[in-house]
Amino acid sequence: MFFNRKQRISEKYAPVGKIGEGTYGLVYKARNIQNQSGNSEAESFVAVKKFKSFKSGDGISPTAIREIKLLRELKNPYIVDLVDVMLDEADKALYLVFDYAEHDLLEMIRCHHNRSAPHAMPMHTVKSLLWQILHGINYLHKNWIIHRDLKPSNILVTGLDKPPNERGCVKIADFGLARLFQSPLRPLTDVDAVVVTIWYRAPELLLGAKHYTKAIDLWAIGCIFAELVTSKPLFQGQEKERKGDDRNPFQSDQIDKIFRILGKPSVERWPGVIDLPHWSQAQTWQNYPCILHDRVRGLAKGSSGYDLLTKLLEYDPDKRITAEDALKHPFFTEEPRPTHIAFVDPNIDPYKSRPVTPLDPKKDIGWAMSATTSGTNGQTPMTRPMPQSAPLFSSAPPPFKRTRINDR
Amino acid sequence: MAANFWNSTHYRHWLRKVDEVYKQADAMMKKDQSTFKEDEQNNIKVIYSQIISTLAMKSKLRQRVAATAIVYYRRFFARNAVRDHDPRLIAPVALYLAAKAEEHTLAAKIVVAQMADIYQADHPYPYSVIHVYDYEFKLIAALEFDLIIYHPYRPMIQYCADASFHDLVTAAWPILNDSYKSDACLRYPPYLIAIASIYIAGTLRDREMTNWVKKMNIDLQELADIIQYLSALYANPSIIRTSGPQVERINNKLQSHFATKIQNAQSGLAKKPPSSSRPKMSLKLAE
Repeated sequence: MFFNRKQRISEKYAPVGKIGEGTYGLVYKARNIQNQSGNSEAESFVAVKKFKSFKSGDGISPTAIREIKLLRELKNPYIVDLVDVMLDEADKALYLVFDYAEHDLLEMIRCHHNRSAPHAMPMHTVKSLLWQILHGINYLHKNWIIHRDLKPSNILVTGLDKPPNERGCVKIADFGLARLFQSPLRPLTDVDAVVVTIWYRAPELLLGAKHYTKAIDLWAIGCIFAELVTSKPLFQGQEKERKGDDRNPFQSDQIDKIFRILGKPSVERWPGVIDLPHWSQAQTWQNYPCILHDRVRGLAKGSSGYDLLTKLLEYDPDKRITAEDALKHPFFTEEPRPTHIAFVDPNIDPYKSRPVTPLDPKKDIGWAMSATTSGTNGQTPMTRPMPQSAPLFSSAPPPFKRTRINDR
Repeated sequence: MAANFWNSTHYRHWLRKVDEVYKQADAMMKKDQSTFKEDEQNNIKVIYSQIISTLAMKSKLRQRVAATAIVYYRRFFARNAVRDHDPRLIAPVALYLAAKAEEHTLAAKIVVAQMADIYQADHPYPYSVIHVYDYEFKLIAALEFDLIIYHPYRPMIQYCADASFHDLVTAAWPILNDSYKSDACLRYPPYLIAIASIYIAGTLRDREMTNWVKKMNIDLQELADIIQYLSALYANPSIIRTSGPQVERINNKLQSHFATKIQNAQSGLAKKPPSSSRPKMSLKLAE
């Protein structure tokens, strides 16, 4: 059975350290206790997402509900696998347990960026990652789901802790903003104004579109494709802060960044643009030539890869390529062919392991501090046993800053 | 998730295992028999399904949200006994959770206030938002986190459009609404309930429906079962309402059964130990 009500989370998973933090809550790396006792093979890990709840709002957070409800229905090799949900009624916490993935695209891209001798990601890896992302998104779209928040940090990639044929494999994660789009009960933008980190946000959204489509995910994939090739974000706009009642201000700098690289769209090329609220403002701006080929030198102008990129970064959402059609693009039938394992050699993982922050007794209350009390098979927990009531200034190990790969 | 009903949790975990679900439901009914007679148990289900619809209407939520909540409510009581869990609390909690799952927001204090407002008994409505928060956890766990529910409304409209039965949509709609007063949603796939509702609606208007049904490529025996099951709702003359002496009697009975538990729980809440000592559940209605 998926879920055993009688079992406590500390009996199944032993926390190892923290791997992420966001407004929704915290993400931990944890060891799967049961798997270990069952066989002598390598230990298996999970990612445990702890949602803040109860105190911060009205019952279980809607983000958690959204993520659970969708992931319970989804099953695809390129979508993160929800293996368990645990409830802690005592501290009103909800834990989502995922299969562990060692990397995310953000870390992998950084690895190729800022080095003494910068080197691009191998084209075979780029193509395989892109192909897998498109597969995962095609599956979502076929199931009437828009992800809405695709960005490098939400795209995980498995490492060497997995069996050889499951390594270097994309796992699309973070469904906190994902939405079923079949006959929404309310216009999608009503519920929460902010959608998709602005660097990956599609131009129709930036110009104020109210009803958007799966095409927004394809724009984000286009941005990610370019970023994989060049190791740096394509459109790095300055985000305008939300002020007062305006929950969704016109992100003019982001639109400007896009226009400067792709050129300003014309009404002939994108007829629907005239209906968008912010177009009246943006259309008066200076025109620029398209310099995309100059920004993405790894893809020669005229190559199939460049052609696919321009089809993903098509202004008009109605003309933008779909995930299904993108998968049929000649880019994927040319050498090097994309593979299920994105690494050049399945036995060599060229990327650094995900940084794991030791547990912090100030923040990591509840299950996360149970590390020392549960059966950890003699493994040394990363923090000292620390009673919850310990004074905050005690000798707890200082939480060290998440170390960036490029700082080393 | 319209594309893949056959891969859904609705189908795989619930409809395909309907025998298992019913075995459990029967065991729960037996467990309840010493406290609630069989017809009382049925009345409670019908009344509280109706109350969920009424609450949804008062909060201006769509029928779909109410329908999802009713499925949650019925799934919960297929696995739990009424004597252990108060329907007067489960019903509003089911709507509260369904609203979230259907991308609406419904504040717990609103649903409690509205429940208190329509509640009929010789005593005030005994639950507060704290109880709603507590039971939201229990409910979502009992549902095994399967929150997406398929409903027959959309397929019904689609089938009517395909067959040009445009006049039957408004006739079949209330039949679908009435189906939620029964366990049809636990027993049968929504697309078959949709076909059955159209068949009944057409037959009531003296239309010849057999040829259409034969072309649908479905199990006709199962369809006949559903038609009979839904028609039986109308054969029963005692149409239960959400108001009136019958409701009051049920609520008074529930109150006398649960009063001590609520009292114990509330005194437990009052002297809640500090959080560092890791209290057990603040509300112990379950045992």
